[in-house]
Amino acid sequence: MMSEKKKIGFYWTGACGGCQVSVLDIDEMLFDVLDQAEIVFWPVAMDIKYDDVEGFDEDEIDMMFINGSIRLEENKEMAEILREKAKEVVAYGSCSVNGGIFGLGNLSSKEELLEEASTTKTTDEGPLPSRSTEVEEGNLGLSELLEHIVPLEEIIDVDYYLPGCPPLPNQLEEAFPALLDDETEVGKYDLVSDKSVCDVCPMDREEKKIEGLKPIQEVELDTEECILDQGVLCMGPATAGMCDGVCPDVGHPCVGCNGPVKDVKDQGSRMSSALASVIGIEGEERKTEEDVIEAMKTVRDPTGSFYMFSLPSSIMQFRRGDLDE
Amino acid sequence: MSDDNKISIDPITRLEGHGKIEIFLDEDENVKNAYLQVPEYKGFEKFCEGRKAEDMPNITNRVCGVCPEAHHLAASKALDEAYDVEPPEPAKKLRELFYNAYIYADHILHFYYLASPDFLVGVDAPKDARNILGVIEEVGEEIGKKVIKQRGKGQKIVRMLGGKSVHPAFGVPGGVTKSLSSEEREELMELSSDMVDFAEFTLDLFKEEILSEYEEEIKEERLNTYSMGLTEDGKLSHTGGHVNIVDPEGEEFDSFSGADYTDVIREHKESYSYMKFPYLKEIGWKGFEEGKDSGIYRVGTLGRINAAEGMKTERAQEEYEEMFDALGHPVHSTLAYHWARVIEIMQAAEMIEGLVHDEDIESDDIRNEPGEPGNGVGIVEAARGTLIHDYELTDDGLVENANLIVATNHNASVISMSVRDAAKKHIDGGDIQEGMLNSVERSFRAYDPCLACATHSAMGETPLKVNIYDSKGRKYKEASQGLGDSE
Repeated sequence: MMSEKKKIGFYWTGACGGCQVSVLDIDEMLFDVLDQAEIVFWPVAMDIKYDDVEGFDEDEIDMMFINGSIRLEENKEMAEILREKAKEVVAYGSCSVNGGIFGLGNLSSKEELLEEASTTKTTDEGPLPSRSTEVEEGNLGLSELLEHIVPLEEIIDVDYYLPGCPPLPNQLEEAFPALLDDETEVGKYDLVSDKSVCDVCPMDREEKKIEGLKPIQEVELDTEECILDQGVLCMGPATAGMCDGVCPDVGHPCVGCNGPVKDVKDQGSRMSSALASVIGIEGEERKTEEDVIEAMKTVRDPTGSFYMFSLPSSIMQFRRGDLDE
Repeated sequence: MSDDNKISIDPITRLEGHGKIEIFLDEDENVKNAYLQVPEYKGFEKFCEGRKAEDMPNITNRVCGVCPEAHHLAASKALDEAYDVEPPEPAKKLRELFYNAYIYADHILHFYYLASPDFLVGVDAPKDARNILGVIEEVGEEIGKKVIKQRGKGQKIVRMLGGKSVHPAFGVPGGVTKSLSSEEREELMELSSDMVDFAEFTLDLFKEEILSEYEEEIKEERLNTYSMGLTEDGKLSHTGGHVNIVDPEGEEFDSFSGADYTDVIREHKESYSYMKFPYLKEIGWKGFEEGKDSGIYRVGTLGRINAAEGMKTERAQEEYEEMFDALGHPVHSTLAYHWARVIEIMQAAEMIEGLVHDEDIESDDIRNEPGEPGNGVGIVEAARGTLIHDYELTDDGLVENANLIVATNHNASVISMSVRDAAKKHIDGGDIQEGMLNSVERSFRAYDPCLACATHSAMGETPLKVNIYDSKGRKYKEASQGLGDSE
């Protein structure tokens, strides 16, 4: 077979744009990518309308990189159409792999999400955003929110996971050439690290016992020492370490943006057990259960902290219980 | 698509992502009205509730991956106020360095990758040429490489301080988490040594290649509105001071800081869009109208430069004077956003040069101890305009209430109006002229409504689709850029 350039595309669903910038942030390396592949469309170009996208042949695109969360009906529909048009799909970035930060919206119902922004202290009274609005000249349609954000894999089959918020240049330097080369075997989860951020962090964690967690603003951090050892929450133990620990390296705790390490489903449970093993126990003396419970109470907002980037792919997925019905 | 006599431009792009313009025709198939819709919604104000205050700089980063630094700093400043703590001087300077590096890189991205193809290559040029590669063809490969390198320098400074160039982690209540070693500062002195030269080069390029050719157009596309922007001692600022507002004649209208923003700004709602339309409370919402009696205002590079009495740095000040000498004060031409933008590239470069030569940025004194959690408002100027973060915290330092008014949000009305006016000018009797879609988009793009434009332009696809419906609601022509035309 002739070695032809792969036809690739980038598309974003409900995203912040950071994944797009990450592609630009490989700077001149983009030209190497263009040696291997022809970009047949760039995300927004295909966000046009469904009938246009449908004009593409089945499997016409060799590899489709999809970033962003599945927030609106439109995002879901586009993902489904793109799946048909692409031989392979890469879930690019933490939103498509694990639901991402917007997945925190799963702690509320979609009605609550809409009402909040419509009732802030500066907002006028008026109707909520609507699927269909009559204006003087005609009708205006608007895509609606889905009940919950789900990982891309729940909507369509995904061939490769490439998490990161966004994926960093060092990840892409490895991922792009490997994915775009037919000779190189890449497994579905090969681009997710089986090492945690702690494993790659420049600071050595000694797993010191801590009495509880303190907010970063209350602690004068020693920048040479492990942040968690100093009693400040760092998501390093539960987070996949494709990043080489760049945040702790500049003195800032890991917030967990890469999602869980390879083969771990629930980032939060992993973090809970990492914390439970060091928290509330001092020296040899074992504390009472009450002491441990007291110490665990110093973990403020565990759900938001432990699942900041992966709630939709966690065991919990979304808030249950007092939602409608 | 509904069965009206309308044209859809779907999507245009903006801050958080997707955008859509619906254009309605009248009986004579001329443009009757245009609506900007934003089919994009995340619900930050809701899901920030209950989060740890100190997480806000890292959560709100993700409102926008093109300007995460802006949200990061607005959040950090809001937390300073909420915890009643003033960062030490070195921390303020480090934040300033971080922020100017962002402004520098972001404006370069916008000017060269996104806006300049319209001017240097031209709106009527084939789509394959209307991108950064086409620009390189036009101006030469050497310059193209220089542009990529200079943008990379801004990103590098952000990365040095915040670990990552997209979604950096740097600000905390009362300061920052990282200062520079003397080796790092030395590296930055070297790195930044040609930034002012590059800003100079960019200004020359703008004047020689764009201003000289498009002077009439720059004067033509106008909207007479109020202008808003941060000023510090009257000078254009991105990071602190008071928000100043001038009326359409350039007269001082109002000024506010912090929590007082609620006395000045209200947000109008339309059910056809997830994006709200802010306006000046005192004047009121009068619909999509320009003039002194309408509460609509503009933010961003042009809003800022109109609202300021001058620039913070010497070279930028000269350019400020040249611009207003040429166009009068205030400037209402939408395309002058670009001019103001290249002037800001100069200010950012000069600021960086000053800061890297300041030993203070090596200091360890980068955090002050916070007080008890309360309420706080942080205001910065994102590349695209005024950005307001407002938090109310619980005694445990959790967010109880959040209100965010983001840059492109303030501009929602002026963008709608600019696009409407551009459509009226370029759509004639239902006929789509060559270059029309791009002209309409160019008006939109002047506001730098963020990333998507930048990225698609990098590859030369213009994500527009136009459906034209006759007055009976029958579609008789369809055109889309990036995919070819079809009847």
